[in-house]
Amino acid sequence: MSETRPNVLLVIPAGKEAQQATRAALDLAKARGGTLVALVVLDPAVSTRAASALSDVGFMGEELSEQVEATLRDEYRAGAEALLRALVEQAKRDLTRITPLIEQGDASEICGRVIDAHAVGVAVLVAEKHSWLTRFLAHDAAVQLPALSGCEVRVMEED
Amino acid sequence: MAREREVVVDRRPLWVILAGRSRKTLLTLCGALLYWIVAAMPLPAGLTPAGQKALAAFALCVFFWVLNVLPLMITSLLAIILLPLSGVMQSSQAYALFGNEAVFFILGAFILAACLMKSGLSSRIALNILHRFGHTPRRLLLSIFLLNVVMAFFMSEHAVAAMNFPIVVEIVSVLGLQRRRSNYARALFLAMAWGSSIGGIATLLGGARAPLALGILKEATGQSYSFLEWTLLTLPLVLVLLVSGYQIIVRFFPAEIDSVQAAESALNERWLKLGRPSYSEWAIGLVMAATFVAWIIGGEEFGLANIAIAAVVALFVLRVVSWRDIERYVNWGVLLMYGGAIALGAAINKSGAATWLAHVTISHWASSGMTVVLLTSLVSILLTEAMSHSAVVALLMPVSLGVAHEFGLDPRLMAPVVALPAGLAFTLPIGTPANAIAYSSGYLRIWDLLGPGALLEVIAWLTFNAMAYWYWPLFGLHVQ
Repeated sequence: MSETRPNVLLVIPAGKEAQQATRAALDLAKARGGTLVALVVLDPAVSTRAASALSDVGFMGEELSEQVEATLRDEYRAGAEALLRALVEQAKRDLTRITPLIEQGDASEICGRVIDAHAVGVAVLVAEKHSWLTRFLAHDAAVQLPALSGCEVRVMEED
Repeated sequence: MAREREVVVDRRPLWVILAGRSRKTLLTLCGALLYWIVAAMPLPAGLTPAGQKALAAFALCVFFWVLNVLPLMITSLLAIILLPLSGVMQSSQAYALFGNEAVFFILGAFILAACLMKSGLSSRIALNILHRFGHTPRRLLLSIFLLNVVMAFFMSEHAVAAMNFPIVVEIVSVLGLQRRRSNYARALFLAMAWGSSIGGIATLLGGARAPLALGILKEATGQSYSFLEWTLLTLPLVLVLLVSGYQIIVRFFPAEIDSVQAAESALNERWLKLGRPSYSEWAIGLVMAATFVAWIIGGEEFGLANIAIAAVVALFVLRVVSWRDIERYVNWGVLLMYGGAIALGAAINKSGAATWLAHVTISHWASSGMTVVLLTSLVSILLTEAMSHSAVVALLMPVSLGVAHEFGLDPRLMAPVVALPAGLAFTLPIGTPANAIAYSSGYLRIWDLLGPGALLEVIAWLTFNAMAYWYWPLFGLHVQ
């Protein structure tokens, strides 16, 4: 199926370095003659976690919690926009077509939707590396990847 | 075209999957079992039946507080109903402890801080300082550090960190500092988090843990500290942490930039947008200043809580704040948390359970007053890295009063020995909301907090114990 769908999806976790994966995805899109769909998925849990700590442990009112949450949300979006701007420049230099996207929510659900909507044949995923300490403190998995189906998946590590 | 759905088989053992999904239910059952075991065990020598029941309620609440099984304030409510239901104290006594002076002092302080923030006075002070002094990278960093320290003298450290966070984010953003790469960004966020924590231990306003410790102390012994006394007791520790905290930040994270002109312009613009101070800013500023003076010179005569509540009433009389504004800034769970913790502390002290617990625990390891201080402060500082500051005080303060009785120490000594180290969380994001906010910015890695934070923690613990041994005797607090 991937041959009939030339586009390549690059999924970058917000705030992570993914130059190797970016290079690979650009090369792949160029080789397949398709468009690179660059997607940054913002995880809403990141901004709500700090706000919850403020409210549940610091006993602050909702005004301050909302302020912190909004600041974090805006900051992550600004970071994602900057990342995609740089990626668009890089794609232009490489003469590769690119569609930048920023979405917020569940990565698996969003990726599934984007794969269908943009006729994606290959998805390049950036696996977030989590140190043992982060895993211990945040109860996270060693590597986080969205569950994908409907296209070929290539997993690359973050830089 | 329909997408094929893959079937993913989870091959973990069934009990692991079930345990993972029902963690809180299992922990609730474990807590109930713990309560039953302590309440039903044969009565140990030296413990009264009421003491045993109080101890069971204490064990259950500590278990829930440490493992976050229920929200902190709900666990406190549980304590309030367990005490009368198990016959440790009458309902009227238990509920009356919600009206403790310390609870109303905390409430008054939170409302005053809410007024400061709502009026915009706190932001004006912050921007005024930063745009006046932050002309070079070093000076801007120092200004942010000192600003957070000084603001936490007057309002909750958590509020200070939350309030200054958007300012630091804007500075980092206009300077174009890169996430996880920029040393200067790391330094700025650490200065914000550590500054508010260091300032928070300096007065009774920086956090609710010190008033909570004093509330438990007063319920048990009738003794307390004045506002000024507490501030003077903490002074050397605050000074040492100020110097060492700043030095650690600049040495671990030397600035990679030479100019902060973009930040200066942004701060200047924000400062100019504020315009002239409004009537409510002036009124709140004057009421706050008068309240602070009253706490220092008339705190013992008029009572800290009375002064705080009088200041709140004065702000409403001056019509500078509305009740709706206050509700947006104050989390009323604070009353339940501290009321319940004080009731539990009173129950285990008055029933003799605290003395018994001290006898079978710390007394085995400690040989003198100084070792009691060393051990208690160490336990407090370690626990506070993993759980709420207030929960640490609620857990350790009643037991420490029993230890003081066991070793013939002045019980007043135990309030700073528990409450001060309970505010020294510099190492982990879960240690305090200020660390959590700084870490969530995405500019800090966990190791950026861990290494420098552990060093500051060691300096803090050593300084604290040196201060207890050589400085506190000047206030009549002897550790020997």
